[in-house]
Amino acid sequence: MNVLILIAVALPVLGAVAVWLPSLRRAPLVAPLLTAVLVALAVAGLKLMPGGGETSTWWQVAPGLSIAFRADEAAWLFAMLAAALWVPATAYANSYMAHHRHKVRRFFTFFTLSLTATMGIALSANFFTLYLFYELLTFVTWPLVIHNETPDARRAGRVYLIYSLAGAAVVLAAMVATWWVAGTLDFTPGGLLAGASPAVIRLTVILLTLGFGVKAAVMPLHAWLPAAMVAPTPVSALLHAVAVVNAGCFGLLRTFYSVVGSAALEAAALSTSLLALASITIIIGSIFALRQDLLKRRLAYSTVSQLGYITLGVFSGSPGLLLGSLMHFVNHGLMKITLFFCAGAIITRTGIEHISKMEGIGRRMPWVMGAFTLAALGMVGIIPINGFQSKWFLFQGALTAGRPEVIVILLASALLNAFYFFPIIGAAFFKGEEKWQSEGLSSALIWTPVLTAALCIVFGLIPSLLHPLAAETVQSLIN
Amino acid sequence: MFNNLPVLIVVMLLISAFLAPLFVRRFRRATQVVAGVVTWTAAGLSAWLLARVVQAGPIRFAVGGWPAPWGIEVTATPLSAFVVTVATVIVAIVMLGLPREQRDWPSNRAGWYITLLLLLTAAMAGMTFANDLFNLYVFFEVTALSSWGIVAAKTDRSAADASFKYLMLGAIGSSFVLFAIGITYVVTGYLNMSFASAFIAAAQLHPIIPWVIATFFLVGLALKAGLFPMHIWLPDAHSAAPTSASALLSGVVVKVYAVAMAKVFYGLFGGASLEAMGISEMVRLAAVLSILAGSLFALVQTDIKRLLAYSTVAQIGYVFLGFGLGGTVGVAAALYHILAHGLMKASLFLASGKVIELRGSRNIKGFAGAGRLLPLPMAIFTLAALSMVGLPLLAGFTTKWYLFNAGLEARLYWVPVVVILSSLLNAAYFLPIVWRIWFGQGEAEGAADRRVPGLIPLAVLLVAVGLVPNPLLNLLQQAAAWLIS
Amino acid sequence: MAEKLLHNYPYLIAALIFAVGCYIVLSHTNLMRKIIGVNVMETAVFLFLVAAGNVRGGKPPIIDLANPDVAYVNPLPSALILTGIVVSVSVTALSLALVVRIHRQYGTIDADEIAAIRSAEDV
Repeated sequence: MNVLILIAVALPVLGAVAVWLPSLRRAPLVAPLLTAVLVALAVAGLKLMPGGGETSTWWQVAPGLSIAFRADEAAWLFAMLAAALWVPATAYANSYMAHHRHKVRRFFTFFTLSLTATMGIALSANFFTLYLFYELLTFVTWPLVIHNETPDARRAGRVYLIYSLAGAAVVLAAMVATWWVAGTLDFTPGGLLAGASPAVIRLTVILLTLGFGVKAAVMPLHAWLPAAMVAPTPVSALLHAVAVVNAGCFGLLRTFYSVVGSAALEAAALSTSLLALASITIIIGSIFALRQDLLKRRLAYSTVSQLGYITLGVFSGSPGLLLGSLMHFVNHGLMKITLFFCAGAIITRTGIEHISKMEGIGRRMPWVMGAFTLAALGMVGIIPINGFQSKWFLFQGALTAGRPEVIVILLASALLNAFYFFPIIGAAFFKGEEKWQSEGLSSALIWTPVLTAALCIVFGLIPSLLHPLAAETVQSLIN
Repeated sequence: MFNNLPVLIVVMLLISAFLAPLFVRRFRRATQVVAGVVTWTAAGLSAWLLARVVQAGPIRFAVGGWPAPWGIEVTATPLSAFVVTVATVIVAIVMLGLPREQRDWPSNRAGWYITLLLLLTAAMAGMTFANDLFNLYVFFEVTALSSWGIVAAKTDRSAADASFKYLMLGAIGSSFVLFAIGITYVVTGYLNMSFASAFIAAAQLHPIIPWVIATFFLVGLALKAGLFPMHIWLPDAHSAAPTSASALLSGVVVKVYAVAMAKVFYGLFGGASLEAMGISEMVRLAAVLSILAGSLFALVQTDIKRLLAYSTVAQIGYVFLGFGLGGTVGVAAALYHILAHGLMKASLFLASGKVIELRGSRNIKGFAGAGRLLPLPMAIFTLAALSMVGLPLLAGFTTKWYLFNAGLEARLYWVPVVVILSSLLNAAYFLPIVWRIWFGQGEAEGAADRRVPGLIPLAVLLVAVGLVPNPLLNLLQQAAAWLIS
Repeated sequence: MAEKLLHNYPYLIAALIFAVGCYIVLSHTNLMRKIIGVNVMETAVFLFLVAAGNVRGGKPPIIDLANPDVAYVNPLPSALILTGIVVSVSVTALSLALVVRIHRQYGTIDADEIAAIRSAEDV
């Protein structure tokens, strides 16, 4: 049993319990942060330590059903992204909850438990483990969605639960199909379904797309995501821009390439229709985003649209597009968490939630809106920021894969992104009467978005940080 | 020494059943304790018997020294020993709560209630061990009579009404079963299942005859087991009964009828001809209807006990589905679910009994905020509910998984679909309650007494069979292989 | 075929009475009549078994060692029916007791009226 994996997956459970320690007054604030830091260190250590890629089996439930973990390239990429972003997100949540005092302990319990579920999904070595933690993720994030307990939140919680449970049920069906055809559930490079009949492969692929597509917000399964924006902003930031939706994308990635396998995927001949699905998600998601006045809802639809980039690469089955989509997997996480952090800071400091009321906000909160602007420019794909890179590799991939239509979609989407982000930035800085002032960097509400925005630039300026990792991952998945 | 163990278990329970009312007036506490000890002893003996038959093969015992087919024969196979062990263990655990439950009862009622519980246990054991159709019928009736009595144990008027409804439909069921036994006897000349089965296998019967026998048995037993659409008595009966009785009726008794069906069908016809004659198909159809309809009815209930009772209608469908699918995997899934559901449903009934006692109402609104009042019982309720939904690592998932495998092995691809759909429906009616328990706004006072005896052992067993199902399933597959051969 | 059926007329009559009993239980709302219906059903099964045990021209099964070739009536079904009657009596007794209790608690023994009272209580 690998100790680092044990820490990554099991420590957050202890952290969640520690939130309730009565003797420590600041336990609800310290325990989650400490947990997040330790988990991030453990995940980082997995790459450095030899033998991280070996499977460690924890428990054999029944023949064929075991709980096992392995930190291979794809697993590490997702685990590292989530664990690293968990640290600023927890710091941010601490400040946020200091302003919105409502059931703080409950909030941090489930916030920390979500880390276990996410790490479990990322590091799973077989389909059963993936399914277990995918199901678990729903149950531990549900209380976060309905945290405010308003009628709206309850409604959103119900929608979230219905979508997620139905999705997990479909995943279970796919798992049963896999088990029946392959006789094993262990993730294998090259997949398990290579020898199966095209009809079975097609059925499995469709089931996987529907099942993981719920959390990856593939249209038309996206409706829960904008609704879930009633959750507190740290939850929206972390879970609905990074952990939950990326868990969906990662589930697709994992099962498409380690369960179905790229050869079988080709045999199923579904990639054109799946690409169409992703393209529709990209375009319609952006169009919906245009019409939103609530900032968080606009960001949510933007997420729907941007996740389309990631699923596009996964669906295509071509190494080039997959590389781009993996880059975007990380880059989008960084940019979107920044945007949500900014939205939350604005709501906390000024109470403004609507874009139409944000005139002059940039002069009142220059740091926050500066970070927002950077991330938004990255979303559009302007050059020094990391969003440009993912798009660049997607373009290249589209050309090598012989799918020029993807380029058209990406360009159209970039334009739409500009349409829905630039007015916010314009109004924030150039309209209204406010005087320039600084909001001060002392609160985590302010410095976390600045930090993540800085990371966006770092990743944008130094492509070699991410590109080799993504290329390695593609290699491990497709060959 | 071992050969008469099955009879010993039954007789011990029978005798102590009728001793209970004699002593209850003077020594109520002692009577309750002794009843518990007797049940635990029976449980221990049947576990021992189980270990024994797994090791040394089935035991046949001719009662009174009269050999079969003339005398009454009792057989202890891995299957029957397992079912009796499960039944006695759950009864024994539930009986831990008797002193608390009977606190305000008059001695008369308390004593006879213990009689009925022990009688019920004895009859279930007898029914499971019987290898003789008529003996089966007698214990079948004793089981029924004691369950009718138990349902009527409360003094409010809905109890009498529910019990009468149960009685009427149960009596129809019994008549069907007796008729089926009569036909079997007329056709084969035997009441002993082994002999009758040999006769049926050898004689070239007109295919309609086994079919009629099976149909009569199925109607009779499905009525007793509460399979849809013959479930109409079940929600009334299971909700009107005292909490411990609800737990047992839903958790154990209905399942024993399913086992009786499996024993009779496999015992008389054998797995292959069941499939050939379309009887398995019939069982599967009834099971699927029950699974879906039970869950749909449960969705609209506002009375927690009725909700749990409808959930039983759905869950008994799983057991019938497993038996209907056949094969070692299917039968093992059914047997596993008998245990798993017994533990889950008993925990759910006991935990909600506490909430009902506290709120004075059976409406599920009463669960609001119960998590703060009764943290441990409600945590166990949540655990059992999630297990019902079929979350991996919990017992409910193992059943589902084995049903999937059995369905796919039989090339019935709709089985996973139905089972998955049913777990979604389970989620739809259990999760709102779980939400109410932990996040609902409700009165947080009362609860001087937070303990629910028996709940912790049930939960421990539930977690254990969920986490470590392997040894158990190996045993059950052995039992299943024995039933099918 | 028809001749065979006629020859086995007790079985047919038993099945007929069984159906009649079942009909009575299900169609009547008066609880007493339901109980009578159950008894009719059970009696039909007893008839079926007695008929099955009968051997035409058979003698009562009291073994006469001096006369070994006599055909006896099969005694087993009769023994079974004795047990069956005991069971049926106890079921009837229990149901009558319940009817008495229902009458005391509801003031009626009509299933529809009881259902009406109960639905009125629920509201």
